[in-house]
Amino acid sequence: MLELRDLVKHYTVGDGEPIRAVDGVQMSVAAGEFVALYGPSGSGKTTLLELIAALQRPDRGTVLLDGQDIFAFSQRESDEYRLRQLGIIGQPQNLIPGARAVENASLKLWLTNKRNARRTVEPLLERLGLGGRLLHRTEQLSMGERQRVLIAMALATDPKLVLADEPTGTLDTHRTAEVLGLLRELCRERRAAVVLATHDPQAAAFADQVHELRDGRLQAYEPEHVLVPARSLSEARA
Amino acid sequence: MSFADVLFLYRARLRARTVLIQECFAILGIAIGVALLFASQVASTSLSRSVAQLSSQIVGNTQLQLDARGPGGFGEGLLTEVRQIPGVKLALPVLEQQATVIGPGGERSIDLIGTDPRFARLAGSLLRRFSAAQIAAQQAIALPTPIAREVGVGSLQPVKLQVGATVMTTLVGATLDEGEIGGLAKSPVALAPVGYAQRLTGMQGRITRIFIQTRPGREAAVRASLERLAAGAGVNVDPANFDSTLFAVASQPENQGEILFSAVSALIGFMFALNAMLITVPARRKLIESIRPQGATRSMIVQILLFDAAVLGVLACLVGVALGDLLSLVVFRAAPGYLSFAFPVGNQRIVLWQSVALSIGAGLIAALLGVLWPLRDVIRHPLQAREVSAGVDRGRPLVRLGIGLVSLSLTGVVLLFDPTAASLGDLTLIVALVCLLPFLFDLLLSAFDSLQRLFDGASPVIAVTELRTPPTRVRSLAIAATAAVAVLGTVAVQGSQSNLQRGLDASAHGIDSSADVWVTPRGEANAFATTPFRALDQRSLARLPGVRGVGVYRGSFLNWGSRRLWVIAQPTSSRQPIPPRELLGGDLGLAGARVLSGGWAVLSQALAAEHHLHVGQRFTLPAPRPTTFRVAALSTNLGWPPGAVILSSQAYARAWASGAPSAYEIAVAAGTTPAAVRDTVARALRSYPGLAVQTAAEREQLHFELANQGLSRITEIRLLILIAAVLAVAGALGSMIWQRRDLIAFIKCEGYRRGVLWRWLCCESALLITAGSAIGALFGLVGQLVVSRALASATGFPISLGVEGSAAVTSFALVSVVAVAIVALPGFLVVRVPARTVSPSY
Repeated sequence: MLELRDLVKHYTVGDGEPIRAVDGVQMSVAAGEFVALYGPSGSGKTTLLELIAALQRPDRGTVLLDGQDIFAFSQRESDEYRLRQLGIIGQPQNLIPGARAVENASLKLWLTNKRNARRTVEPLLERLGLGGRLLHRTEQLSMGERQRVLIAMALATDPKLVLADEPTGTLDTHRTAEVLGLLRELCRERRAAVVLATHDPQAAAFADQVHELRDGRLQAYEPEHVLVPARSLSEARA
Repeated sequence: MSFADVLFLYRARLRARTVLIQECFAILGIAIGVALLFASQVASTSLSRSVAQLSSQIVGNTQLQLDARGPGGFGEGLLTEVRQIPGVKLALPVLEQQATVIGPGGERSIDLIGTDPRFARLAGSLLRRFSAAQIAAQQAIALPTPIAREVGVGSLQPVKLQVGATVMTTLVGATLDEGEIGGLAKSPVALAPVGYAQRLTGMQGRITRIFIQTRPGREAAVRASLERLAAGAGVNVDPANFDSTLFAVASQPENQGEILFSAVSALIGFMFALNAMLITVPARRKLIESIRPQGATRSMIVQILLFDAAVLGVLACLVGVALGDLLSLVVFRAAPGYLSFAFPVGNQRIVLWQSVALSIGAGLIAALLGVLWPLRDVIRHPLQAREVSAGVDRGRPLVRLGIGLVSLSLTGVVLLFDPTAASLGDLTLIVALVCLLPFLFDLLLSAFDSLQRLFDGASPVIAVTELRTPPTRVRSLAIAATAAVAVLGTVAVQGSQSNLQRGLDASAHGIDSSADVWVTPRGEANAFATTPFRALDQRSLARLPGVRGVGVYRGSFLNWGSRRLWVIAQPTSSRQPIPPRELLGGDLGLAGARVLSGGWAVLSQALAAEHHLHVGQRFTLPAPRPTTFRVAALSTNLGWPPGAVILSSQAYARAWASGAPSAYEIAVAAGTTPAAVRDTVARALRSYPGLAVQTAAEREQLHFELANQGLSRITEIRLLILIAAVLAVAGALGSMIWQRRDLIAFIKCEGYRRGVLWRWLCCESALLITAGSAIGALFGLVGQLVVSRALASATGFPISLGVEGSAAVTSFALVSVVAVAIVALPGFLVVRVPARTVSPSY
């Protein structure tokens, strides 16, 4: 479904020093597959996700989604691609302050002008364990709950591909397992592929496929730590 | 994205208390700007429209008028001749004279209008009402109810009326309220049948105007016949509503001055608005950066922002117009009194739709610019904002520095070489301030940084660090710029006002000091000594102890083209016929001697320029008996906006065919004082209750007060700018401090005590405001000179150029101290936030 072909993105910093953020990346992701991009800070994970989301243009290479080159899209088509085919799980700070959980989760549905947004996102939020927090404002939610609202927002439009950039960066071990377990479960049900960028080996352990990114290059993944096995939602809740 | 979705998103965002407070500050900021603009607009239009309204209510459907050239009017026999002209449908006689009504509650200058009630039904609504009033056939006058109430009389009660030096008792036959004559109820007029008005004024058989209504298609022919008639009778033929034109010219300098000051107010209001909007920028930027990657298109973002701007703009305009309305009611009420000597200026408040539209338009534009401008980079390049801004920012400071220096140089060139382009100088000065502010701010910050190292305190260090932090820099500079522009505005306005005041005072001193003691008709309406009265026994006055000599002064207003001139006719005994400081061209001694010898006159420069006259050239003064004079010298307008003419008293008597004095100038003998002579003369004239005897110093004081009254609106504008500046800056600072709660909670984890944090906030606020105010005060000093020059060239007023440093220091200190004192409270509340390990957001 998703194919990255010889993707290259270089930057130049203030003193002219070149940074190879993404350097010849080749990767395929099948529908419903959960892929983790594992690597330390500055390894190029976020740049790679931004390339997949067509938020940046590569110096070379291409990204194909269902055989379509996303860099051939016009600005409007790129917006449409992100709006309808992608689900992006950002940082909890990106939630609208003051807005209720159900309103934050409905944001993408508002943007797509879809009626009955609330009816769509409420069951999703309930599945994510936020049934009793629907009307709570951003400030009244914990970090874990905010992260789950972001998952609901990303999945509300039934995307083909979900991109998650360090979604558990601010969570403890227990909450990380809970959130990622839910994400995997919901995406599998919807046959949505997930590309997760993380520096946390425990988070990477939830993936079907893990790629390690170092200096912009994909390498064979060698786990350095004992990983916590993936758990189902019921296990996580227990 | 539907409207409902945009609305839903807006409402959702507004639930956050921080966002709500920020939006409220933004609304307040724009509202202050709208209020300033609206109030000054209403004040300006009320002034000009009150005269136009009265004029139109008198002239009705008449098209032309015959207008006397002097206060003595013309014989009413002319009326019969006018009525015999073919094509004349109606000829309405009017006798108009300045008078004062004196009642138990006080006195008030009015325009006494006498007309023929039999024909008044064909004139404007004011005179139509008069024709129906019960006094039509009676020996009584009708007064607007507010005037009657002011002087403490009612219907069918006696009231004293002073015309010239004569005081007589008459009856108030009717009072006319707003229900009958609308807004004119606030006009200073009194109505009487023409015959009775002639008796009251001692002008039997004479009138001052004839309003003429022509038959359709005959106006040109009638005008030609009237001009032939007028040439022989020494009267003018003018359009019926010509007073509006004359008043427009007379009030133009005042209006130009106010426009200049209103423009400064509007600019400051706009800065407040933009500044207030900048407070809301981080929240909007964050929203865009959150939803743009999710697939929100540019048009969706623009829709969301436009909706924000519309809500802010509409609410701010509503609040601003209401606030401005209140301001115009409570503060901007004083009409410039000096204009009422020559025109019936009412104190009605006239709100035109144009004023509302202009204010609302400016408010909406401010909201739109405030929302869209700071986010233009995110809208244009929403996904590559960081890369683009990094590239562009490198060149920007140098461009700004260049523009700032060029603008400052241009201001200097204008100031030194071309005062007529002074408005350009004002603009370039403000551009220079805005462009150079970041550099000057950094300079002052570095100076403070070096200074604070001498003391070992944490608060100043954090304050300096925070002010240098890139995420908060735009907001900090915006607050400093607001303080700077506000202080610049107040310093420039105050300084130029002082220059104008000094100029007017010097002019009044120059005119009044031509005698030691003055005898003039009593009442404010005669402050310019323009009302003739029956001559006194001059020899008896001269024989009084302490009197060295008595001269006859004559004066009046004369229409020349579209100007109503102030005519000053000095007695031959005058020791100073021309105020020395008012001379702009010519030799003072020679010009004075020539004027007193007759056949020569001093003209205001603007008047001479209009008629292309130079010193020595001949011109014909359109007096009742047109007379040829030569230009002895050129002067300022002596404080009378349309201009003035100075000639000799004897020449005036010939040209006006009247020997009636307007004042007596008394010179005091050596060994006595003006006050003693004043008392002696007053005792001798106690049988003339309509005459006032004043020393030159007392008369000067009266003129100083009048000049002050004329400038009162400028004082009010200045005060409002200052108050608004303090509130806006304090508001912006308060909001900025409130936004720091997360940061303070985060810093508290490091163990900082409340006291240190509070001192930091106060120190940062003080630094921002004092730096901004100091820069503004510095530019304000240049602004004083530029605005003074602008006023001098635009208005022709006598202006004494100077730099008023005290204005700069006062404004700087006031804005700094009050704003910092106000923000100390929110600072105190904010530092009480509990320590939290959350990442700070700006």
